[in-house]
Amino acid sequence: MDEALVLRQADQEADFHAAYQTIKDHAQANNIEIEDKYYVVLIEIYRGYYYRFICSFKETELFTMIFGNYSIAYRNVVSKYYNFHPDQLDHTINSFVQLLVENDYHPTGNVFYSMIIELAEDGLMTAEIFIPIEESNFTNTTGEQMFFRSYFLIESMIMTRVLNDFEQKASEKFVELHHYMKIFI
Amino acid sequence: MKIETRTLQFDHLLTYETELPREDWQDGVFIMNDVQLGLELYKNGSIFFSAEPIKDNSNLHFTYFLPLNEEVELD
Repeated sequence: MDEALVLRQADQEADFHAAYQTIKDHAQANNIEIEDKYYVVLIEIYRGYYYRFICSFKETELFTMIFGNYSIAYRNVVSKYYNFHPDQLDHTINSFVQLLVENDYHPTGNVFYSMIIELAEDGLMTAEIFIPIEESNFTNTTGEQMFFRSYFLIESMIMTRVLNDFEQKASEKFVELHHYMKIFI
Repeated sequence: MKIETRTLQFDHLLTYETELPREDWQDGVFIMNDVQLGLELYKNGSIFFSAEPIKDNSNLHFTYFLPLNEEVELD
């Protein structure tokens, strides 16, 4: 869904229909044409759910840029867990590359990471960063915890892309993938 | 066909060992495919296996390996 009207905390409305009416009124007042189909996103909180009410604009395709059945495959992948501030992603990746280079390994230029904890209370995120290297043999003499596997493969993934402005857009896309999973998987 | 020297190295593997006739090698792959993993535990590599002859027995000793994203304690 590229463009949609969102009513946050829609549970304050009497029911789904009232929420839909509120959005419809808003759309009408602003000359926005919306589709008849609407989405209710449940967001889990401590004692139940609150929901967000979403109506998409007419003639926009739902989740146009999310693709299913995607896989990633690499050979000779080293990984390491890092805690860092989201702004420091580049810096963190660079220091991992540096650590490998200092130990005579040759990163191939690819990098990817897996989010373990998106954002903790202290504002730090935890991620496992993966860097493929040219060497097929890895001996860790650094004293730092690192993992190595000759083959890395993850299948059955959903995928989306971002262009430019990576740090900002990555987290938006991450939310989009989450919504997609909730609705379709 | 080019043959090269490489190493094979993994950190977290789930293994399953069994003895089977050579033609039944896929049985172990099916078993590994059926392994149910938890929410934060996932397969991050292809299933592979080793095969070794057994003395005075036509079966082979198979070990199947399933690469995982992290360490796991089995119940």
